[in-house]
Amino acid sequence: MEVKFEREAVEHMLEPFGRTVDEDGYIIKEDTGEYQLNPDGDRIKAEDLAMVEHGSDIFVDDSFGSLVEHVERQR
Amino acid sequence: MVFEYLTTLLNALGPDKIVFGDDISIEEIDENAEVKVKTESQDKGAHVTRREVILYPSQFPREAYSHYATYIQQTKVETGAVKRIDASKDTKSLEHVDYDYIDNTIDFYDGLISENYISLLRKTLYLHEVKEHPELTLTKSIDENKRDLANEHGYEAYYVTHLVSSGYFDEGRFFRELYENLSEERGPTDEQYWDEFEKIIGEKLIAIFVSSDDTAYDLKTSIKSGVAKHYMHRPPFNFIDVCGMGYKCGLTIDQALEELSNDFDEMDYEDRDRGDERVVRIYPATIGGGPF
Repeated sequence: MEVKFEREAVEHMLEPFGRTVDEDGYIIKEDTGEYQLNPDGDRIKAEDLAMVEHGSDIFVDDSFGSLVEHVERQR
Repeated sequence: MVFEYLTTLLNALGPDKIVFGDDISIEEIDENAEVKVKTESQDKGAHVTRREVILYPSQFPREAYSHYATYIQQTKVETGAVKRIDASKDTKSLEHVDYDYIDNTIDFYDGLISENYISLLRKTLYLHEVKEHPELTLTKSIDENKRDLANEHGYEAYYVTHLVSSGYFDEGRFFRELYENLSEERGPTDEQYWDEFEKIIGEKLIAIFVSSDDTAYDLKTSIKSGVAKHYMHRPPFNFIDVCGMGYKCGLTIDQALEELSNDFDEMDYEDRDRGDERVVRIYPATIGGGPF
């Protein structure tokens, strides 16, 4: 069962996972300040966050390629 | 178990912070109720019906927020992803593509072309599937999704997308025939294929795709450039396809060919239309001369 969130509520989806948003809008880890990266090693803007995957720490952005890669991982 | 975290959260909020849409109690919420997290609220922390729970965390008192965090964490661990509403719809569409078509296509090219091209090809096949099946919808337009692929894989993503749409990677079509043709020659075919493939895509040697913005002059220029590239790179095939969808592109192609035929008496070409797609196969050796 998924929990879904509207785009404007993204910060409420970051806090439970120890993430927050830096001054440039990128997702960072609260404890270390490191950028949260997507599976391709790129930073993710909070406004582009599509999902946090089931059972993992994989943060997926909303680019088409990232969504396809997510679907492929779930197969 | 996750459902228990949800009810714990709702109980921590208390009835004053919850709007009940149905005449139910917290305990009567369906265990498979859909849960959404939103921001807009008139001071309430949750809106609850039997089948749907909407949470407004910005209205939670601090003591309830820790229950909320636990609920979200456990959801991710135990039962499912946490997804943006539109991304959830998009992934549902992507999960309904024809996997057999995509897998069979990828299986053929796997090992013959680079991992980067395999990744790009796979994604363009997904996009093609969505485009071909109106019941599969995406939040972003097809053009926006193509732009995403170009941002990730470079400008040639547009070319590969066109080639996929026109079927060049399909069974019995160009890129598969290319492998068979190379197999008939001596030499390490797989390495040859890799090199030829990268050259064909990088230099756009196999096809010119006409857009509705192109004039006949633009197209003539593109064709002459394509011919020059054939002379330079000597690909293992002797033609360039000119492809266009729609009436306007068809007119542009016809006008460009007429003008080129006037410039080059020996120019040879043939119609190879594919359904609604106007396709003309041009033979570069008949334009401007040269050995092939």
